[in-house]
Amino acid sequence: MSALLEVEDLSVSFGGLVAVDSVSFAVGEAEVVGLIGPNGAGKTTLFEAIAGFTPSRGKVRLDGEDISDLAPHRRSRMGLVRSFQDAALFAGLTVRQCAMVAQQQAVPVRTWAALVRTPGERRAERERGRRADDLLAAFGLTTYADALIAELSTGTRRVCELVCALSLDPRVLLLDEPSAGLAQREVEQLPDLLGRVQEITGATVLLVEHDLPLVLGLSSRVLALELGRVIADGTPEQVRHDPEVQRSYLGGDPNAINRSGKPATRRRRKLAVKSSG
Amino acid sequence: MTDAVPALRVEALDFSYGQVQVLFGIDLTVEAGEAVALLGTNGAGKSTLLKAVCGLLRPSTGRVSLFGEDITTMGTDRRVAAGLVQVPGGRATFPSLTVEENLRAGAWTFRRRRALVAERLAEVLDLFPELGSRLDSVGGTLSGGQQQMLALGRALMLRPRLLLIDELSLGLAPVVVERLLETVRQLNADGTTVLLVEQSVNIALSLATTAYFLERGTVRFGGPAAELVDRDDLVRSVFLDGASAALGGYT
Amino acid sequence: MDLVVVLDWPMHLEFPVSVIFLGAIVGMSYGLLATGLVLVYRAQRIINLAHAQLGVVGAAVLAYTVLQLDWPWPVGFVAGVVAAALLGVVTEVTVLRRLADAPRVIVLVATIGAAQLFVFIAYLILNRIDGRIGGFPLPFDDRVAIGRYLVLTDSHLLILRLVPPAAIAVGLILRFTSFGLAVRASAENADAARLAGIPTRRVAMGVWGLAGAMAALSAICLAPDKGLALTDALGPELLVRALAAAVLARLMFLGRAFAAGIAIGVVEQLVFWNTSSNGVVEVALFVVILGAFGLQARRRESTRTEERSSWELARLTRPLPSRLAADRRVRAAGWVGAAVVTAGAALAPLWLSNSQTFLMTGIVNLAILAVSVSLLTGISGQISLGQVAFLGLGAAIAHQVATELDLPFLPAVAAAGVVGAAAAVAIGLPALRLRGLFLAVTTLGFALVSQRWLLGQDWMAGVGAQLARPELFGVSFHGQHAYYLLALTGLAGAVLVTRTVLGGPLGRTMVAVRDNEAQAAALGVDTTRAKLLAFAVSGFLAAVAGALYGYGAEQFSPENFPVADGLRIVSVAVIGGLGSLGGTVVAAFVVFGVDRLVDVAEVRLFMTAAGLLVVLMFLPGGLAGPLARIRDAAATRIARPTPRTRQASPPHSADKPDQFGRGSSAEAVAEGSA
Repeated sequence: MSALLEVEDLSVSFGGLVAVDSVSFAVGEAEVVGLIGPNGAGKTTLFEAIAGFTPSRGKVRLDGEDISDLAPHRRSRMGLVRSFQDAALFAGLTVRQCAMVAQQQAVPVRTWAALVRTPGERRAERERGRRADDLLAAFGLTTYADALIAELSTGTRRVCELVCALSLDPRVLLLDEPSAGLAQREVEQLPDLLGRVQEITGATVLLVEHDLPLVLGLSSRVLALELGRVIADGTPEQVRHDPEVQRSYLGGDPNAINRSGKPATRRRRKLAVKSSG
Repeated sequence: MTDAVPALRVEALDFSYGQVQVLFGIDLTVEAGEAVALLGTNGAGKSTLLKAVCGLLRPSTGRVSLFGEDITTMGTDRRVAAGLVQVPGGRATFPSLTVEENLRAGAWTFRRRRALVAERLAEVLDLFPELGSRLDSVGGTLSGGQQQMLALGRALMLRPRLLLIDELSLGLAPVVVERLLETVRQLNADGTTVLLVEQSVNIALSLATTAYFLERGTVRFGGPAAELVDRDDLVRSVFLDGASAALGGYT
Repeated sequence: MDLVVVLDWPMHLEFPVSVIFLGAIVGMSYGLLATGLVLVYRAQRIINLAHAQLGVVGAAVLAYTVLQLDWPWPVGFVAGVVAAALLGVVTEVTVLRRLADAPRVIVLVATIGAAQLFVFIAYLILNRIDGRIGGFPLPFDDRVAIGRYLVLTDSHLLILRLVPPAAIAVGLILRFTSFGLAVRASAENADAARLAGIPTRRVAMGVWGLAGAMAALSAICLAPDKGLALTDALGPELLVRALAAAVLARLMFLGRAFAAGIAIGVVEQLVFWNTSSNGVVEVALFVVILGAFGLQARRRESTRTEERSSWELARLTRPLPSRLAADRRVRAAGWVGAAVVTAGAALAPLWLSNSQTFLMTGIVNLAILAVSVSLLTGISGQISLGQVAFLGLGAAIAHQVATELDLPFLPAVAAAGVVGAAAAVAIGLPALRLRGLFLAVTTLGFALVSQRWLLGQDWMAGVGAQLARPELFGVSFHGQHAYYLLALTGLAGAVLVTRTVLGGPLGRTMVAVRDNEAQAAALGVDTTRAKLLAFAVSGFLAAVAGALYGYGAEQFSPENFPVADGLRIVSVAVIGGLGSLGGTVVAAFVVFGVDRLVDVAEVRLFMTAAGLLVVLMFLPGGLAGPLARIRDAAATRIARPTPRTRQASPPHSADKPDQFGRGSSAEAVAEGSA
């Protein structure tokens, strides 16, 4: 399997603080890769660096092509698409308008034509509207089409954001904590949603998450990060039982690990007398 | 226990953002010494309710009382002085202040009583030794878990009688959450009343005896936490094994 | 101190060390001002455009108490500093507290209003001094000569004695006192600070008081060199220098702001030494600012998502509810209404005298300018404080192509527009590649450069440029009424162009970039290009307005385009309601119409300021709010009534939670705070 996304010696530092420390890995076509790790491990920073939002050293290659010096919007046009933790989108636009902004990649806007509204540009707008409507329908958002983004709940915005990401015909999708801000029962519907996204696009998905059942259930491969470095790389089962990962991240409390799913125990744990912090 | 004055009583509280009503007749009681969980769907109004309880927002109707005292119209700083302290959601540290300055900010209301400040500082550092080794580090350079400890530590400088915690676990690794939960359990055992807002039912229930479930601004359930788990209409939990099987086709 | 560094290429330039030293001294007071700006910004995310003028009030009080009341200088000094501090506190408590939740653009404009108010107050105070000849009062009468070139005047000595201790004092207060801790904590996270028991309101008052005192100190130090015409002398130039220094420090680092102020002072003095021209000094500073911004953009700064700005204008414009908009009767009524208004405007001069029509023409042109600002700020979220410069540019270009190239009216106006757009792109590029308020600083600088240097050049307008009114298609537009109609056509055209841009993909893209630039980039949008386009279109419209103005006025000079008008036009756009074309046009007519009734410049400023502040405090959406309500009420009356067969149901019922929860406003708004 040839590598679709290659990251080579990628490093990010803020002032004196090293957030990402010479990370290298490669991801192939149609893989779903989960990224786990404690906070401060550098997961979101890694995503921002790959997507071009944070300056970094090292190389990022998409399908063999070096994109390390490209601006974020360029990388997006090449098929490297990221989501945002807060799925804030554009508060002043409606859902349909957001989707149409995303369609401006597939059906580009020609500035001069748009300034005078030529018939050609008007046709293009209708085309964008059609394509947007189709995607909204596929994800059950038609009833929200004229609602302002500012009026939606996080879950609905998350779906809308995925619709926008889809419009870009992504080859690699970077999903930054897609379950953030969602209630438990919405989280349990995420795998279904993401599955449909993968079906439609055939994209490779990289996923940062803290909700372990979600990550482990979705991913074929998991990377564990700590302090900006990859400390484990393997199948979910392998990584889950890796001693380094256990020590740095998972700990031993089953309730803390299994955020969704049946509670592991209903008994209150006995209070232990702590001798140290 | 029912004869004792409740730590917190919220009665018929309504709140609106401008024209939009967001909380509808909230009734909620936290008995002294209890640990209570406030759960709910996203956008249900949990954080809004906390803000109203703390005085950051003004309710349109209703009453809030703290250990029997009516605090509905009191400003936030007076509520803090009365023992009501919240650890806000989203890692509420002051990123450009050092760890020590962050903790001292918590002691601002009694900043003139130096001995007391020193004493409380020592207590908090005893509870979170990780902070003690990084007193001069700037808040923003701490990891997420340490920042949450710092936020909690700052709240503890005030020795609250009622501690409100908004989203303890958000974005934190399980091993860190375990640590924090343990600390909160101990605090509760030592007599601090706790109200915990959480997304994760499981985390909240590992701590609380009583639970409230908020949905779209109304209380849909209020009672023993154990009973909440069985309410499938509210908390539709899915067995983990079943979920893995269903997802098998996508990995 | 006699050392001179001399360059003979590209031209003869001298850099005497003594002048550098002098520049550093002057620059320290700019630095102190800049530090005050950064302090307020960090505390409350407010850019206080009234900062310099607050200091001027303090200086005015000093002048009054010493010259008129014969108080000793130190006492007058304390009075001045305390007065400015108190005024700062009052401003915070009355105006800004009310606007605590308003979009940041609105708050910025409120500070513009406050600035104008302070100018008025200073003017009142200074007017009460008998015999305004003579200089600004000083505590001593020293003059120290250092070396061959350098003479330190009283102003410089005053700065040397007052500013460094003040700067150090501020630093110590912030770092080591509990007040300082409270200020820093509240600045980072006001909610968390309040939850820790910190009384953030009192802290805010303290910050404004401190900032006011610092501003007064700076103004008092700079005043002696300017005489008593303080309000003119310490106006926009001071603000631009302080702003530039603050922005160069990313509005974050107090020490850097101070250092940047010093650097600006040095550049200023060296350029003046070599050219003896105030105008060229402004140009040099402008170039330095552009260069500095350009360099910052080079470093490919991180567009981290946490830094998404809070310039949310999402809810300000409320279109007609779709049900009403689709109703045939409402649409017909809309067309009829538009026709009536247009006819009324066109026929109005029949009842007005010639000179009144002339004034109306001027107002129409300013309305076009206001529309250009509304487009830029309301839709694209950018702030241009110097749109008046494009007005002047348009007039100058029209003049040049008409006289030098013999171009007739329409091509001349078009040429003016094109040059306006090009200028916008040129000066906008460095600022717009960055995120934040850089464009505001750049455009303010540009307005200053235009008025003080550019427009005065012979190859521009020079002094007393003249333009003859045109003859088009056989019709002569020399008459007042005729030209008025031409201008009105221009306004209609501007509204049409703006509507076209807004309605389609370009407007949508601009709103997206405004609301969440990082997300827009993530969706493949070239955000710099989108911002530049908005600025270019607004520059085009403003320059066209300028050309129309030039032909209308038939004679103009740089004085017709003062920097203060750039600030006023932003006020007008906000009073009208950002992004609302109807509101903006109405506001322009109201504000500039009332203007014509008042003679004294300061009183005019006061009235605009008072009007602006009242609108902002009680009608944050501007006139567009009530206008929209009237429109909605009328439309509801006119439209066909809804069938009473069933209640209008929301798209999701309460019983069946759909896939990802409801999308009701209630939930969403709770969401936004949860």
